[in-house]
Amino acid sequence: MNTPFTAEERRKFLQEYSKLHEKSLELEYQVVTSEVEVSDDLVKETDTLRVKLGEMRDQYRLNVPVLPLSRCPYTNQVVYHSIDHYGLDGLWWNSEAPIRPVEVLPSSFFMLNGALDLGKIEKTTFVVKPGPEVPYVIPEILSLPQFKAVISKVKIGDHTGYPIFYFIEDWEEAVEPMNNWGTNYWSFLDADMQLGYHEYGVYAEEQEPDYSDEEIIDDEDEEIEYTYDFDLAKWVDDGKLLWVAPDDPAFMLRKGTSGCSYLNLSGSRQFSVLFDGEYVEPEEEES
Amino acid sequence: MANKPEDIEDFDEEFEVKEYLIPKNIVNALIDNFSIIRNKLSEVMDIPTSTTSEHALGWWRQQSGDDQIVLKAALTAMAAPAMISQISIMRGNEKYIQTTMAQESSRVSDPCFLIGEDESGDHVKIRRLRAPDVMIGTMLMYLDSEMELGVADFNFTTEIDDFHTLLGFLDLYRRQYYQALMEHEPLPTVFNTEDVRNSIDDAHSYGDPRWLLPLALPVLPNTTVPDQNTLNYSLYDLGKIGIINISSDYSTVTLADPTELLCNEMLTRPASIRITNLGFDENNNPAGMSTMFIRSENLVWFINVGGDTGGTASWAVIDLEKASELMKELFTPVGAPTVVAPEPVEAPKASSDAKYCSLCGKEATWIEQYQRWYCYSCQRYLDS
Repeated sequence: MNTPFTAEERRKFLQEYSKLHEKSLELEYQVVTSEVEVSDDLVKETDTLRVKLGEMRDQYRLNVPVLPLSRCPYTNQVVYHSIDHYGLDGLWWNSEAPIRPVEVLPSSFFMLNGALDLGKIEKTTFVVKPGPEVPYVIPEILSLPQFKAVISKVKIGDHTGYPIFYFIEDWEEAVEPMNNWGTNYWSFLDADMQLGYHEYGVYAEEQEPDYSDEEIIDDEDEEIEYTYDFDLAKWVDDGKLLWVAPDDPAFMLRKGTSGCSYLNLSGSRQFSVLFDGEYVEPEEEES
Repeated sequence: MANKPEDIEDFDEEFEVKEYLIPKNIVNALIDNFSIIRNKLSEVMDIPTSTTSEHALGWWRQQSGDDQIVLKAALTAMAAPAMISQISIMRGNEKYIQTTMAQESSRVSDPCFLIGEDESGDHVKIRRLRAPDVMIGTMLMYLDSEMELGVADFNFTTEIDDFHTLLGFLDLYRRQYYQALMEHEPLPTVFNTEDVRNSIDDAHSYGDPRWLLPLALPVLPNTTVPDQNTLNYSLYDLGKIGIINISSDYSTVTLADPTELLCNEMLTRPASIRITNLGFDENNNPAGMSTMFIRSENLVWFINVGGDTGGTASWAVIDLEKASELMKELFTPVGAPTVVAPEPVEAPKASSDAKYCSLCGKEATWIEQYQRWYCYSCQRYLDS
């Protein structure tokens, strides 16, 4: 969380990063595949480059923009979240190793999903998973009384993004969040400034519950499988899904379907997977 | 306050939380730089005009990552507070504390910030509290004062002008108590109405918060010293509700029985707390409320200054549990503050004056209020 990139600063940064990253891969390949003993100089150069790339990722984390994206219906706070809105070629969008700062979010923040209506796809050396082209909600979460969601719109390079923030009224009633938009984990900073971090659907090794002594019973409620609902109108009607009008600089929360521009949007409902400037293959469900 | 006690302290001793200092003249630049949305209440914070953005960002880069997280949240609270509480505490006759608590969240259990300024006046001083409960706990500790607390069924309401008069009278009683001690005389039971006026005049002239009326003055709508005739009417009104007895020629007053308890209790005040809350009501209209909590020798007094109409002051003796309950209610924001949205103003017509966003290429909008160009497409200000 430092000073946001300008478009030009970011362009130069990514150009340099990409060049060094490519060079690093080449050197590492040489080190790994060499049939003779690798020279100290090569090892040193490889290490130096690795350190430099690490420093650059830290720099990116400091400079990635943090923008107002939503508003919490429980605390009325504007939600500021990092997002590389200049384009999908930013390291923020690397689905396997996203570079993002620690987010400072309302205590009611539960999770962030998103959709992205694709424009011209940027070339990337990493996989980008920006969600489907049209926004959706998770019925298994949003139908619970302690949750509300808010949808908004943000321009991301040549694309149109739809962040969908979920907020919880009472953490005592929490369920497992899904992974954050475009990433393979969920995280949040709690009121004691402690970072909560985990991967949706995966137990950390040391925390894996031991069921060996337990009687196996068929409990349908034990694991809820999340599904996706693209028919937003009924959620908006029920007051469970609120929305922020596009380009509203005050981020005021709105209710009801009247004037809501997020309904019946056209676009693919498949979860996009992008790599090297191309649409790779649709995923059946978000991982 | 023209004449404060010299030992003006803040909460450093009470709160073992880190203190952050931000140069005042960069606060606005930081808020703008981080695209933080402001609301109307932020105008109360009285943040001066900023220096250049470069200066502000240069300072920001020197802060550690952990500090930046807290500072960013503090800047957000300053820019868009859901409620601001101006809190003044007089502890005994020795320590005067003043701070401002800003809550960004409308949840009372969420973190908040104490905001003040350093001794030089050049920096905004910030401390993050886990929740307003921390502040409430501290104030309750002051009200408790490790002294046994009694109970009494004592409550009454006066007009706000008469409240002003009553506080002046309570100060006069206390003065005469000390004077009687000094001169080895018994405490008088009859008080000249002229002396009541002198007591009020003294409160207005010196503003010394060790006395009750000066402590309350900042939250009283009528801040003038009444002429003798007006004062006599006010004393007469207090007589009508049984607070005092005024002589038929309006020259002297004596205490009614219950007031003797009030006067004697107010001789020793381990803690006097004044809270002014600025926020919004259920209809999202600006609203304010002032209250006082006073720990006297044996009792805790709650005073709702202004009431629903702004024209009354209601006193009640309460216990600490009730004080806690009232404070929690006080620190719970009700309405939503109006956002200061950048108002689109027609940009200069000449095409050579038009500005375009370097990111999306669209034409930017001139925001008169901030004297800057704004790109609605990218939701950001253009670099100046």
